[in-house]
Amino acid sequence: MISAYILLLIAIPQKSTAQRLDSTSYQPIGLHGRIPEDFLKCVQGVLTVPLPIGFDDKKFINEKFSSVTAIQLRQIFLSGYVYYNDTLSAYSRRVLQNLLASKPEISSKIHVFVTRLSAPNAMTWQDGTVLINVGLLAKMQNEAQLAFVLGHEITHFLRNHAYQQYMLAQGVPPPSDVKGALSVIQYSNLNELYADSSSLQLIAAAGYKPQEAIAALRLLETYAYEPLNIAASLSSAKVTVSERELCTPAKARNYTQFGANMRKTEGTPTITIDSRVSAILKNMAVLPTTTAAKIDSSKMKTSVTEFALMRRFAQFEVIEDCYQQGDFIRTAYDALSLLKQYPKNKYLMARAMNGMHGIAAYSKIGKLGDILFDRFRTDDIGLARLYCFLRENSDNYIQQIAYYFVEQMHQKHSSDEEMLFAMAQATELYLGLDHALPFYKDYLSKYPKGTNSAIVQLKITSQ
Amino acid sequence: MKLELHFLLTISVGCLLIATSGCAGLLQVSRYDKFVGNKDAEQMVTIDPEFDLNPLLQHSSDLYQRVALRVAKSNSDFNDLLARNARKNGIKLQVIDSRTLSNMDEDFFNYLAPLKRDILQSNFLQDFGSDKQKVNGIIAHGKSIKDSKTSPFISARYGHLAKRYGTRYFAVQGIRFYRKSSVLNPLLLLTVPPVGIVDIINPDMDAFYYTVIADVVQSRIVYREYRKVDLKNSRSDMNAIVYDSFRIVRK
Repeated sequence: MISAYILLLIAIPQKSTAQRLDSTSYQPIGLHGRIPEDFLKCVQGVLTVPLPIGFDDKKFINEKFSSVTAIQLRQIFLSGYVYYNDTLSAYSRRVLQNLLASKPEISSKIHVFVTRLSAPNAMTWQDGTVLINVGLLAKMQNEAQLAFVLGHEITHFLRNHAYQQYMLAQGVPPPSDVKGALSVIQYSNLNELYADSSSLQLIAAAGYKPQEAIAALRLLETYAYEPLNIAASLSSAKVTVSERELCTPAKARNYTQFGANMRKTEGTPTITIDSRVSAILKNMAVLPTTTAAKIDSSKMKTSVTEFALMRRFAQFEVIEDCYQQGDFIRTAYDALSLLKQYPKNKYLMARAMNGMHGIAAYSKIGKLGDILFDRFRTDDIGLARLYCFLRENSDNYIQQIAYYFVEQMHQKHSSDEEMLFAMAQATELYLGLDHALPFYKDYLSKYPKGTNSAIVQLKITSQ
Repeated sequence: MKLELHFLLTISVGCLLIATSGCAGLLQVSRYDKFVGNKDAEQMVTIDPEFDLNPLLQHSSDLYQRVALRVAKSNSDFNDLLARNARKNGIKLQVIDSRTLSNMDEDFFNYLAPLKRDILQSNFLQDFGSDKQKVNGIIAHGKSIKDSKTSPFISARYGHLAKRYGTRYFAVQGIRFYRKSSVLNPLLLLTVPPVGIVDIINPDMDAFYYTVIADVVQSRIVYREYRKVDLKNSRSDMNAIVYDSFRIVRK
């Protein structure tokens, strides 16, 4: 009876998951149900932050560190960026349990949450909260790579790295720094290497293939998709964008974080992926033979299908995050890239339209350069070529391309709610409200209680 | 001779009065021309108002936890001030306070928190806490709101909130305190006496107060107000600012 009940509990979320994502549609993850206690604790700022022994005389700094941790976590959890009761966090926790199957006393202290952020990153806090950005999940190619990331974060927690770094910043060198000569950045770099090496041992001991550690690190600096054919993607029946109009990769590089047109990163450089990979290769050579014997290179602990579903969710959520954050260029670029895999997906078409419309809207008020270029940096040369193209062409031309792009997409599914609304908005922007009214009226007749019906009603009555 | 002395004394007292009057401060308001305060702003929701002393806490020698508790109490007082002064100006203000959230408040995380983030982002205020330069960039250096990198748009996905909360106007409000630089004061006193006197006598805190109102139906920011004031964290000072702010909103 009990096992039947548990099966039912597992089955329900899986069913709803399957309904939210298929080849033709996607429903972004919403937050539903009772908010978990560990989530609410972060929101309320009532956390227990365990501190390592040995610094008892630093009561003031200890207390300040605990409060800073609580305040920062409260701000993050209050921002609405953190998922709960969701597929992605549930999957990540399962991988964590697989990784720490032989150490349940550690896994019980760690609270894994996934955030909506598209940057490929993860963070660990002294209270055991581990936050993984959805942008990182979207890049991983198998469970072992995610296990490596989790192992890395767990090591930061177990070795009190956040605390030690804070102490160092306050002028109290960590015990390992016998000469007291390390800067915070140098110490942080050492911690990264240590966390990599420790995670390598953890994943190998859990039976994952150690080589996946290197693959995971390499993926952090590569774009998730094949390069997009920008000219073809932006072209429509009425406007053709030729390859010659695009910037060369060398010129587009100026729009990456390494280029002259973008903000420079500050401070001492953090450790490079190359040095981390070299260190891992050295550590792999000295893995204990008993550990190596356990490794089954072909087998993952969760099913391949489960991982693939999680990754697909993450990829769609990255697009949703870019859209919500107003990064319209990345929204359009990623949606177009993912459309190659899911050519019939209406959500992706709508987001590509939203992205292009957002670009046109900022272009129209003359703020395209201000708003969309200096807030974000890109590592990807394909995306940088799109940045460069938009930057180097006239506002009128960009608006024209965007409008005909939206029009062409709309023709594929002229009754879809989001696409119809996007078409109405784009028409209003490009041709004026008079031309857009038939689309707004069409929307209201088809979706009288739709998400945008209040806005549409206003447009119609304002005429 | 007597007349000259009297004249000099008058001038000196005048300078001293001007220098110590505490009037130093800047105010910038930008309003969407179709937003008419006395007609439109009868009802509003303010999302989790922020009373931020964090930049000051970095320098506090008091126990952090104790100060943090004081901040929580001040935040609650600030919320009360907002509600009361809104009422005095004929605005029915619903204050959403994150400190009273329960584990059933999924609406906050699904809609209100993202809306607040969206409003802050459209004003580049999202990482204000650690960036005093931004305050100076917008206000102290005379850069107007219109010139700064602000966007008039927010996402179109919050339109349904108008029905749910009975109003289409959602505000993000807050007050942030910054420690003034004390290094320059003696130097200023030596070089330009009146300015130096202002800085020495006035409180050692700058406060930055902001109100940004979005119309979720039109998906745009309709009102922005930033003000920088020399201010002690006193209830009466804040009361005056908040009252004045709502008075301007209603104009």
